[in-house]
Amino acid sequence: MRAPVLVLLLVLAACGGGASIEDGPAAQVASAACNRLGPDGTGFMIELEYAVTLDVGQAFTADFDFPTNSPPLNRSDIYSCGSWSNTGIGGDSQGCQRDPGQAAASQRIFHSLAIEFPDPLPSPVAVTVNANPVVAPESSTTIGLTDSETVSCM
Amino acid sequence: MKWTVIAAVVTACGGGASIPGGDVDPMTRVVGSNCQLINTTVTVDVAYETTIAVGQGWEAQVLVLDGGSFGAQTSESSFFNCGLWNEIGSGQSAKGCARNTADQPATQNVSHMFSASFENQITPSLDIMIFASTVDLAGDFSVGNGANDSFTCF
Repeated sequence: MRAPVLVLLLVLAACGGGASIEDGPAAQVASAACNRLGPDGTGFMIELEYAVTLDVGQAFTADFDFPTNSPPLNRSDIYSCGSWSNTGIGGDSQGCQRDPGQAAASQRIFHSLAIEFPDPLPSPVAVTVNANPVVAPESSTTIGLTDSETVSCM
Repeated sequence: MKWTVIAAVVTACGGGASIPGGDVDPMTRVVGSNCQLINTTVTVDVAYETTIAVGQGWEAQVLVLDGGSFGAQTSESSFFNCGLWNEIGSGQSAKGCARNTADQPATQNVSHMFSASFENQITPSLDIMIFASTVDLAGDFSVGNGANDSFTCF
């Protein structure tokens, strides 16, 4: 009787039951590169990599601060979420989410942003990226450790 | 009996993950691109390798970052070569390809032929951005890994 119970406990621990608070939600910008495009610099391609840790049910998203108040004419966000799922309804990907059954607590997430503004942004353009764990997919409520980096677009 | 319980626990804690829409990982990647500038017209051909499940689609866009240098855009057209898949929309409303039935292969080499004309002669060093994503056709949201890219047309 005791041996099967011990095996059962080992199985539960191995498949994710042992997560601790120290493993809690966190996001860090690992790398960022930006290219400015177009004759007057209205287009930008930004390639990013994040190191992200989430609990089941939480999600990750990134937002950007461009030095303009104009809304973009076009925008495409692509997240490569590893073994997690993409978040997004109605068009572009909005980030990644850790669903039930997805055992890995940490992932390297790759993000490609292509964006075009209606007006030129004078060079060099400094863009701030904010990497945010959020309480649930499509939520804007951040949780845990966030990160912010500024990348220069030439 | 004991082993049945353990097997049930293993299944419940991660063995049963599945991908919505089928047993394939939806993705698209750029495998080739070229462009031509002819008088007032730019043509762009982009080839993609794409994998989708039944009920999913692939959509692509081309952006010409002209900065208004060549006057107003007078026309634009897109044509999609979908291989054994079906085109989404037709004529001016075409926007990509769909895998509608299980007897259509999961992976296809698809291509997007785009052209745009402007009022004035186009000069070289024209920056182009391309977006492509794999989508759930019923929900109109992105799934899997899309592709962003950019290049300069001479």
